[in-house]
Amino acid sequence: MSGEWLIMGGPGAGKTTLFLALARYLGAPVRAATRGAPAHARGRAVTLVDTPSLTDDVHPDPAARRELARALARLPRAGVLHVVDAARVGRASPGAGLAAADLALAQLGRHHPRYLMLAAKQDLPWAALGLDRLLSLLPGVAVVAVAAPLRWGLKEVRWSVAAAARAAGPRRPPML
Amino acid sequence: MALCAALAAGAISPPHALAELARGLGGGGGAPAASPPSLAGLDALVGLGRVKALVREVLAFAAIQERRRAAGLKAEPVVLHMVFSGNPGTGKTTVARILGAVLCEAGLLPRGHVVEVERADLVGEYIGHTAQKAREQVRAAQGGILFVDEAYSLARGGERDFGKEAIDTLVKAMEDRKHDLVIILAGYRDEMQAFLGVNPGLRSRFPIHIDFPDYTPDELLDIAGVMLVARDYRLAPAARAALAAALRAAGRGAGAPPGGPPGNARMVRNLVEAAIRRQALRLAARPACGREELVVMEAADLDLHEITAAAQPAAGAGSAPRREVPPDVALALRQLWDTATGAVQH
Repeated sequence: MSGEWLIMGGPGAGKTTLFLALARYLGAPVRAATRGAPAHARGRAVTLVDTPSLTDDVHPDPAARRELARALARLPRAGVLHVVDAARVGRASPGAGLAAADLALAQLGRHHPRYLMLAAKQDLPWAALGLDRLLSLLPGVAVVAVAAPLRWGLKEVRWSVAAAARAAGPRRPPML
Repeated sequence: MALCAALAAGAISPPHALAELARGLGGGGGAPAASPPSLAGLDALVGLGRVKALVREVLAFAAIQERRRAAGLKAEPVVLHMVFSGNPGTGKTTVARILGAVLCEAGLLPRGHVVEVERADLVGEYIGHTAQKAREQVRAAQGGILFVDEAYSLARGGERDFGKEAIDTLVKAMEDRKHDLVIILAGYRDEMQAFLGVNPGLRSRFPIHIDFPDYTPDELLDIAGVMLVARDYRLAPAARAALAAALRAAGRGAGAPPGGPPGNARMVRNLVEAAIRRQALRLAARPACGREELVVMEAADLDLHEITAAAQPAAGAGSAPRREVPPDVALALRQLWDTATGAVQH
């Protein structure tokens, strides 16, 4: 892994849990959020950055909006770990699709050389179905199934991110 | 940057900001799609549950083989040639057209267009003519799908018949153009089974078999509703009830499947188009009508006699249900059946 990677996703997706699990897995000490900077974990070769939730609508609190804007400002240079609650996707009714913010981020991911989707909460029921739905809703997007409490998928995230960093260039991220 | 300022100020929502960022990264195209547009188009079709599931299985299989290749593991060859079996009007051609776009989006076909042919487009009148015609169609379909309707008619047999030459040309094309041509053979269920059975090599070359069952009466009702809504019409409650009753009676009365009510979705489309004309006739007789009247389809506008005719038990117990089969194909089927049942020991 190299450079800065933003952990992004909708409310309740499990971003912070994954941020902490990945930080521990990579041996990167966690620095809590301060007024000027988000929570981040600086490792040997990588810095993970936790970000505020991506809501579908404009957030009523200006401070929250500013925080999200600052996170998005880092986007073009940073890698993206897009956390999606696979259990919620699986539980939803068949035609439901994804939240607008998740779709927009996945669409951006098609053109971003360092993007990876994490189908989270694989330890919960319905998550496997959710993973299946994500794969069919978003063909060509690189997805890794993870479960933070059980440390599933963290190794795959590390490999995939290393490969994405190496392969930056082709229009589509490699299918991993 | 300006975008982030707009986000912080609450002028734009996060999805909007992300879409703009994507454009900035070279994303080109418009608003994020709800799902890959073609898969959404497939999902929007009424019924066809098993078809939709199978298409996803095929996509997932291809995606996993790609991952395995990327990981340096042995991967299965991804063979996408298919057989679509089912009665007319059950969605075979519609699904084939959408499938072209789906496979293109998934990166499995370069272009994803569909060339629809039948026997006459592939078979010629003299030696060599067939190979030429067939090759032309294959060339036109390169990068996409070649959809062969009533494919069983290629196996007509007989001395002066060039159907076999067409089959050989197709098979060669499947070998030579593995990654940029998908061939779909379509036809009635029993005839396609017989066709695949006559040439043992064929079945293994078409590993994906999708069956298109007859639509249920409720599905046909939904299809009628969808077709009407798409044209800005609506069924009045009495009309809906009458149509539902007629469809259910037809579903029961056509005797034992596999025939089922003839026509299926095509029958419903004819019904909808006829109803639109009848409604126009009814309304034109009035001096003026409001927007509501223009939209509503009353029971009187529905000409249900064709459906209720299908509710009569098929004439002659034991004979195959009557279908629209062109006469020369009917003769060919008889010959094919005689050949298959005479030659093969079950």
